[in-house]
Amino acid sequence: MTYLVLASIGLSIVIAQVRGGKLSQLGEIRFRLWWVIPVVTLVQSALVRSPHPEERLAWWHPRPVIMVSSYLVLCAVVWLNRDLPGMRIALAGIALNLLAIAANGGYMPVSPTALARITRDIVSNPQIGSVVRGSKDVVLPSQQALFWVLGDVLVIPPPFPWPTAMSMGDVLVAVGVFVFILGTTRPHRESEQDK
Amino acid sequence: MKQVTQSLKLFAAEHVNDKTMRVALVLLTLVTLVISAGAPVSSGGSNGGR
Repeated sequence: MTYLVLASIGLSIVIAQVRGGKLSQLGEIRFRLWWVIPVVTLVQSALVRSPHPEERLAWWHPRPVIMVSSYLVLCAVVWLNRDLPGMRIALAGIALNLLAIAANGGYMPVSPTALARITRDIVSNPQIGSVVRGSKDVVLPSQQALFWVLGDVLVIPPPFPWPTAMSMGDVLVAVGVFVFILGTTRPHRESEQDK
Repeated sequence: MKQVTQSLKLFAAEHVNDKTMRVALVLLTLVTLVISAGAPVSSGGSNGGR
């Protein structure tokens, strides 16, 4: 995922530059409570890396509760910054992921079929209800997952170098960040001509 | 966690007037936003929480 994140943000920066935008204008943005977001990332990272049972925990255990709470915090911070370009799109994406994760006991559902398409090293079928190690996901067939359509259903299979299954929420978050970079680095000249 | 928050705030307070640093902080915010808000799963199990 790290490569995909860097690639998507890198691509936005390149497109912004090609359009004559100035990256330095990002420094003029006042992103309220920005520091909360890296803290949430650290908390989630600790959660997914911490030792836990192979099967998903009941929703009242700390792991699912903290995961859902972290999404609520993200929603609140992005809501505070909703007037910035693209942040409403990102907020919609976070809300969709929150809905899917909260409805499925604190885990993002991924179907065994989707998982098998991206994981080259799995020989047998993944066990239903098992947590995908080092991830926020739980293996659930669409019939057993609530709001399965909001789960990781969009698959980029090999030969893509980083085969990935992602949700519609993930796509909206990436689009929101893309719009943010293009919107905030737009040359001032353009807006002056509009007046 | 308190220490991390404190360090981030102190770091920002010291360097917030430096424009390059402000750009870097906004980019850091965006990267961490995509990582924490996303929940994809990649080959090998790596995902948005990493």
